[in-house]
Amino acid sequence: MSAIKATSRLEVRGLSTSFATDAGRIQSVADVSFSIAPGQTVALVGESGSGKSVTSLSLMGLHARTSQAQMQGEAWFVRRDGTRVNLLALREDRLRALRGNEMAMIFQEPMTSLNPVRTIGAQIAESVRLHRKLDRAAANAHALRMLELVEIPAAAQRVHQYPHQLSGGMRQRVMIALAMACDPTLLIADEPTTALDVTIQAQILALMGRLQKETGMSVLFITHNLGVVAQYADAVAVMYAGRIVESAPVHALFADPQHPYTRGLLECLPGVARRQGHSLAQQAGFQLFSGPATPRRTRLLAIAGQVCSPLSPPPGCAFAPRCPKREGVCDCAMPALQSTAPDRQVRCTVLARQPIANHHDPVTA
Amino acid sequence: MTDPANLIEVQGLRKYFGGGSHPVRAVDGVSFAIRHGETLGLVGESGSGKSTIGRLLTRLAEPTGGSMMYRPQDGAALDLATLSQSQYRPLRSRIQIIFQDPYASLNPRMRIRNVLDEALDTHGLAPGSARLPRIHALLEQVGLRSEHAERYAHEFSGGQRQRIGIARALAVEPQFIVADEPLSALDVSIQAQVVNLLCDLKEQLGLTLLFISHDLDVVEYLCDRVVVLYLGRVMEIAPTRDLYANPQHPYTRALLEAAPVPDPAHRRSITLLKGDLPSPAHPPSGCVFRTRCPQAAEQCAIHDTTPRETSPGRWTACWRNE
Amino acid sequence: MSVDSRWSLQLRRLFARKVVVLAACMLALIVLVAAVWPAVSGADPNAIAVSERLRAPSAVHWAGTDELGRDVLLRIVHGARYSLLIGCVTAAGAVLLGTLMGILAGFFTRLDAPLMRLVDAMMSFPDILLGIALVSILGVSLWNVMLALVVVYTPRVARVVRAATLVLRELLFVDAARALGVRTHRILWAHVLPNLMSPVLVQLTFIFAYAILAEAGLSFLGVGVPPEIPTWGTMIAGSLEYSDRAIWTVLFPGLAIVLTAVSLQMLGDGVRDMLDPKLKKAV
Repeated sequence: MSAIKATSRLEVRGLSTSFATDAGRIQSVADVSFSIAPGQTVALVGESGSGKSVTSLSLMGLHARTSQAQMQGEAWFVRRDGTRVNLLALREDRLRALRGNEMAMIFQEPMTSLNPVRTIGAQIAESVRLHRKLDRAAANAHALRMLELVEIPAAAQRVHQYPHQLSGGMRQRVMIALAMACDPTLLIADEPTTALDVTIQAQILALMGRLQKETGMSVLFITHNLGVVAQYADAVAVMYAGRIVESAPVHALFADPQHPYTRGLLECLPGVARRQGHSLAQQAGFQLFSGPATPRRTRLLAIAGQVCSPLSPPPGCAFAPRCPKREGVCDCAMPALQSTAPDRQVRCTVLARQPIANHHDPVTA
Repeated sequence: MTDPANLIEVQGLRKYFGGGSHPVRAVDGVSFAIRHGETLGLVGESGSGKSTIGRLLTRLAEPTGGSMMYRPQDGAALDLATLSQSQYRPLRSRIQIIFQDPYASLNPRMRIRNVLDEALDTHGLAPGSARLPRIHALLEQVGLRSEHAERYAHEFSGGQRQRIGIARALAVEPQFIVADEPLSALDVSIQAQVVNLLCDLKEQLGLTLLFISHDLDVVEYLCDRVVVLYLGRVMEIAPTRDLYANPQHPYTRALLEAAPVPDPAHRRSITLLKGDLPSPAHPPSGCVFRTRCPQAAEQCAIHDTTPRETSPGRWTACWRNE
Repeated sequence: MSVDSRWSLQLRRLFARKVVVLAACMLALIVLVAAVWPAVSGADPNAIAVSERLRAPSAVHWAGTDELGRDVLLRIVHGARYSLLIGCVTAAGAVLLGTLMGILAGFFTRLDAPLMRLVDAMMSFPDILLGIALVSILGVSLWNVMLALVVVYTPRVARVVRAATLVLRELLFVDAARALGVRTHRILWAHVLPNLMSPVLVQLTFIFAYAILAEAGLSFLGVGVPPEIPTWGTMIAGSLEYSDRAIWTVLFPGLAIVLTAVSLQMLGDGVRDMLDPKLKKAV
């Protein structure tokens, strides 16, 4: 248990969220802890069912009331004036004062996140008028400046257009403009480029990087794309079945992934497999499936099986059924997050038992 | 391009949506060939027309123009574009398709057994008592179990549903399969499983595969040759290794550069393409890529951009490579 | 993956709201009474007893007697049979015909325009007026009323089914079936039709209710079922002039209509909510 870092913008401790469904209460997210320093980009990586989106919605307090979300833990956010507030314990009206103002969020599908019957200028101006109390003319001028900031061509005409008149990439820029309108110190980006073409994705990521450098805001970047993480993030937290299974600075994570799931994720990428010639494979203990491989290419190292249903989680580690390093003890209890280095943590029973020096085999790529 | 090694020869294929003076040109004069037994990659972003080409080959959409010659080794050559739906029907046991969305491509009210039953029934395969064993064999072939036959689609995960979709396509014993972005809706760890499955099946059954995707890494892994599309037109065709090692067309280079590499040691700033995709109803004159091309010149607006063979097996649409 | 049977989950969702449970019980009671009571009692609902005219509700006649001395409650129970029959046949007929029209219009573009213009023409008349016109042409009888009401309600179903078919036609699993070479009629039967069941089921319950109300209205106006047949509508029609003195002669048949129609509508609401969980109200 580390003390609160004096320089955190956001410090999340033990966040857990559960929902009521037809089939009972399910735990979507459990024991999530991470921190983001000012100006830092932290990536939350996971596949479906990992709980990464639920985490971001919990922080913003955006769960639907009908889902009966129950949240536990703390999320300490440092405001512009230096005061610290626990986002999970804030009243709705105080949280609303922060949303769109000091904390902003952008989503995956800009078409459904923008109001189709209001012009984009009006939507941006609304945010500014609400939080900065500007009058209509000043707000509209600010909206225009924001559109120019996100490099929308012909911004003066676009400000009067409706979302459906813009392309996907443009709409995502509008979302970013909306999010940046009140100069937030924390931006939560939930898969902002997943629905975009790769060339547009490159533009959007470059834009976000530039804005981050100019304003010094922190970014919590949620994605399943390891390529984006490698190019953009400073630190990474890998999530599986609602828990963080590994967190590390980005260079360390890619050079030396410790958790079997992280290793599996990296190795099953066709590009990575080819580049590193499967040397990671043997070390991770992944067995090549039996079966013929074509003479020219070797099989991809897939992680066997699929993620368990949240309604019937395994008795111990959630990844155990798919893990090549599984041992009997893995099914006894959920492992705790352990530090393996000053800024690295791993949730693995088998790894926890080894002395720290043996945790990683250096990659000879 | 008439070569006995070709199973499919597409020539000047066009698909325009809507009438009037400015129809949406989804596919605008595409020509390429698919050889027997190869895996051809069709790569492009949204608006490139790659999915439409898949649908045209399987006649789920009617072409506006051009030809699609089908040259099976054991039969006469046919132009798929000119066949009527009832003439095409017998070919549906030779040419099959796997869809992108594993959630929408299975009828939620049908058991898996009935899904495969319908496929076998339609072409009179494995009749009578041979039916159920065949269904079980198909499921096992794609990595599922025979008891899965009694379940409904919603009881399966995305990866499993995609396997069922593959089993359905295989049920009619095709020789050519169009795989329309079969991995895009799946988790990364599941994608690898399905890629391995496709490779195995191709080996075992001697299939010819048209692999449509926007994921360049998977295409590099799976495909023998690649066709790069932009706004309904061919930009470049090349064997995979050559394309990735030495892309000739500026769009191919931009695509390859833009794809983020999962290695933080290789961070680089890249030349970004400016702007957005032009409207397919009003494509730019000459080269359709010129509005975003970092190397655009004045003559790009009037140059004929039919791809030319710059070296054996490589075609590019850019005049700079001639 | 642990699985709850689709149907038990659906039924639990259906009966999640107390109102729906109440409605279902009420309807079950009505059906039971209508089925059993006339068979058990052998009394003739049409038996005239002039000496017993217009008696207020009492221990002998729980709902009083009408202008011809007939027991009101007995007539209500017998009337239930007719009303339920009319509701059933009309709903079934409208659903069958409407589904056929809707599927053809939705799936085959060339049939869409002519069929939908027909539907538009029929829907341009208010239900009751169309009903009156048809019965006047066909003649007053039980079956003609049912026929007329089928014609009145078919367009409603056709529109809903057409809309659903237009959506289903574009769905990927229909494309997959086409890609397999499955013939069109089998696609309609095995893929489109089963997925239409949801909106059709909702329409079924509502038309049942509308038909009962419509029959009552038509009979009241004299262009419904012949007055000899004791339906709730004919009862009200026959007793209307006595209603100032003997309110029970129209009150109880009216209550029966209201109770049945409301229960059906509540059940229809429940069915709709069951089939579309997104519409479920907040817990």
